[in-house]
Amino acid sequence: MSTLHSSQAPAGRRPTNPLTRFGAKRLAAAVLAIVCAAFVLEASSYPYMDWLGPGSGFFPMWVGSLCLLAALGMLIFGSSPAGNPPLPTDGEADLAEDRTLARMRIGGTIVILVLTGFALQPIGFNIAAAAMITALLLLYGTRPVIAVLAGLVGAPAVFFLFAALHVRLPVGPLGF
Amino acid sequence: MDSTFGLWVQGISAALEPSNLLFAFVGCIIGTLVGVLPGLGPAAAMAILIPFTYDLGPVPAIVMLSAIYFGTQYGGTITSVLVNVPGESTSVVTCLDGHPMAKSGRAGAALGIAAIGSLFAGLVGTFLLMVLALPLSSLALRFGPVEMFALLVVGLSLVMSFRGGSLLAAFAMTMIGLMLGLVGLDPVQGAPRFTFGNHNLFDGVQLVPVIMGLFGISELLASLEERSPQPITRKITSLLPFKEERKDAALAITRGTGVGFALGIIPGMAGIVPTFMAYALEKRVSKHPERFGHGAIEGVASAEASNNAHAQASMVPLLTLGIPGTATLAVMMGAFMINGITPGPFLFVDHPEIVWTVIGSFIVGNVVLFILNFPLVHVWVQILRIPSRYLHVAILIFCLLGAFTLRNNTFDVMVMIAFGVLGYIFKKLDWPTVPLVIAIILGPLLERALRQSLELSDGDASVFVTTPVSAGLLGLAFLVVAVSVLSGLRPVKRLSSRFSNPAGKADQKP
Amino acid sequence: MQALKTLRLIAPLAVSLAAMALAIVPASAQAEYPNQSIRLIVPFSAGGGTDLGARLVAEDLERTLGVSVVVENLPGAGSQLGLTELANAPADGYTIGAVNQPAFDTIILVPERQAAFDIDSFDYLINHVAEPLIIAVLPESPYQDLGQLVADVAARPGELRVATSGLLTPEHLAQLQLERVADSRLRIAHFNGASESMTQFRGGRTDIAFTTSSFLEGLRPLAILSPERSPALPDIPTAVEQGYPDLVMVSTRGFAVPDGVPAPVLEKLRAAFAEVASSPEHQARAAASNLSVEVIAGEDYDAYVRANHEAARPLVELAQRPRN
Repeated sequence: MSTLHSSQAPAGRRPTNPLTRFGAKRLAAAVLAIVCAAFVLEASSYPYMDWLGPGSGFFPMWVGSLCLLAALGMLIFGSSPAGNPPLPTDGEADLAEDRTLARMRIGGTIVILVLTGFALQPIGFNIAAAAMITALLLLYGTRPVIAVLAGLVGAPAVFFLFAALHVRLPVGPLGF
Repeated sequence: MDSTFGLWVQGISAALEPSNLLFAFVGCIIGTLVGVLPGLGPAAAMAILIPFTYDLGPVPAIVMLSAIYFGTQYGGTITSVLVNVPGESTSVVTCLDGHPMAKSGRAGAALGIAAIGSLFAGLVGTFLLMVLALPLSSLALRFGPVEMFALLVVGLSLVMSFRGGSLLAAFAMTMIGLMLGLVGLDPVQGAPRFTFGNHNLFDGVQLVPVIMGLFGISELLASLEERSPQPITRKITSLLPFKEERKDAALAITRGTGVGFALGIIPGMAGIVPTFMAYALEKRVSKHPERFGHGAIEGVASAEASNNAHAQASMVPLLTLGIPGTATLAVMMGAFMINGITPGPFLFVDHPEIVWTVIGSFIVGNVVLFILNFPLVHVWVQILRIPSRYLHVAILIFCLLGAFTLRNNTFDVMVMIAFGVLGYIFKKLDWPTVPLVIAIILGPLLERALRQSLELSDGDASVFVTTPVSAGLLGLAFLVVAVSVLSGLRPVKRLSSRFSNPAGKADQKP
Repeated sequence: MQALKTLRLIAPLAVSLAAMALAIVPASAQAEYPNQSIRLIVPFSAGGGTDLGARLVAEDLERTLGVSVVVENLPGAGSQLGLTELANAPADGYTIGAVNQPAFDTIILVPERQAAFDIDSFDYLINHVAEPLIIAVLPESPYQDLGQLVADVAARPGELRVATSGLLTPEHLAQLQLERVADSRLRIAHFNGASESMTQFRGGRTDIAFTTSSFLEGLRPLAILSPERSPALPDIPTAVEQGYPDLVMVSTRGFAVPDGVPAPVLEKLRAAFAEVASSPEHQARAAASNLSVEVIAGEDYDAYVRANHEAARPLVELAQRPRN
């Protein structure tokens, strides 16, 4: 019973997470405060009241100001630890040992997504998606042969699935 | 009443037409399939699957969408039980007892009772929806912008009041949601606000990419940090609970259904609240509360029943007033509108055949899902064995396409990625994203309703207190805020502290 | 690291493929028009009225022109996104767009919207569908004709309530016309779409309905705002014949190409569209989908678009002014 309990206790995970450290939360609150301040500033350029009542600047002003207050509150008092019921974790789901690898994967995934998003219309879905599948799988550590194969098979498969559903995906200048 | 009954029969038989039945089957299968994928909750799963309904025409599209809706929910349950990864906040409660059950070799019973509970709650919930929908919709016709404004104020006050986590963070997230909802052409003069001259923002921040980013991409990014959790893939033998558990489980299902439906009618009441309340209720009435958190079947039963009853009940404000109460329903509403159907009281008057087919399809969807799951549960388990990197890539491709095909617009893809990154950061900060999404939905409705009220009253703001319904609702909202501020949210805090240490009590008395 | 390596391999490949493609396209475009597929931009969502009409046209156009016509929905910002894409497309006749008036006019005429195009950015091909607005009341209303309504609006400024399906929609513009005609003021409330605004009317929160033929059931129509009576609704008198020549509001859907398309291509397109839209078989299919086809072809359409645009200008200015 005791082993079950210790493996389920979620507390052990939190301190290892850099973002939940006090400083990171305050940094986030500060960023939010700046965003809110800019929002309020922009809102002040819209008419606050008009002939009927609240104008187009009314809600933005109030919402922005309240958010600014909340952000300042978190900056000063810190946001109290979450009461969100943490999951009973399994122990196996601990952080990957190599945190740099994890960060590289996250960063790489975002970059690949952005590149694919921008490439979708100019070069067409098939090429963009094949490249995306191959690149992502390589990033996640699949063998190159398999990654390339998955890209070459996967992209057209999705394309034809959508075509069968009468959803036209962008094609490149070569017509595929 | 006779004519109402006729409408019910019509709706159910329309949903039972062979072609619609086929769409219900397909919807259940792909819904469960996508819902099973770890880290993909119903809202994100629905968003991904919208393109599949573009070309179907209104009725089949809706039949398929509601099947997908129930499918994704059940798929999420499977993942919660076997992998301990909840697709969305409500499934957390299912994890609490479902996963321990699976670890002790009773995954089948957990999934079985979840399916039975969902079916019961789904059928009872749909029945209540049928009974309530028509009278409520005729009431809703008398519901003008004044009353709508007051109801939305109640909804938003609830969003901020019922939440886990830091008081300030939840408040800030609600405000961030409202701020995002203000982007676009304003409802007053039609002038752009906060668009930075970008025409893509004139219609506001598109909800579907936001939801896919916050609930799909961010989960995926977070999971890249962890070793993929190992699903429990021991062979599932029996889907039925032990004989001596059955009575308790049945009672738990009944109570869960009641709690889920009663609270689900209120717009803005996220599913997490009734689910936790139902769970807490079970723990309180149980003769063996110490079993909770270690595989109590009542825990799974009540959580799943209240979850599904809530899903049905939240259809009431959607269909009668056009207010989507949850992120998943907002996606569903978007899909309705893509198919040319605007939820609201008008729907009952002008397209009763569509409404009743929708409601009929809920019954069919629930039953089809139930029937499908018994033979297919082994297949779903197999999917969890596919190496997670292939699943990740598939999810990313479908998210990308879901965001893009919405308006054939690259900008929306970038919005999705941006919210994926933001959602990841929010996750790390423990800032809750559900209030943000609900606020994005309700905020613009609130501003419009206020403006419309004043336009119709010629600037006379006293209408909000001289209209009885509105005065009553505003009073209620005031009470909600007052109570939650004064009590420091004691009930919720108590609840969450209990869950943060689920095994606490059990240690003293193993 | 492996990923970076792959990217380094893939990027030049993609670039060279794109370059090859670019080299091919102009060469093929030199042959006789049309010899490749045509893009038909619909600046509204799939499934809406504009999309429906455009898809009908595209189907028939494929047969007439002998190349495929691919409908591409680019909704957003009340057609501004799709029209921007159309205005920026090459003027070679291979990109066509659907244009709705008055939505198109209001985008151009509201300065805050910073439209990247104006009325001269396009060459106009043909008008396809015309939907006149109808002023209607409930059967128990005291108004028997438009005259009584206008008199009451004039007598009670700021009292009568109306709903639009959005800011600067045809309903809104028509209500502004009514205000001008009666020299009075209405309480105008803006809703999201026609079904919402009609919900307000049915719920008794507005007094006059500005609507279209599909919402007429159970209402008493007072006037149709087309220049002449509609063939589909011959019993509804026009506002013009009731003595109000300034009450005309028809929302129209036509087709346009980016400005500067070579004259022979433009002529060919105009002829093809006219042939398609004038065929009885096409009009019958459109009627089955509740679309009333009203063909205004070529130069006539160009003049029509410009006249409508000028008519919308003072109304948009009126809408922008503070009201009291």
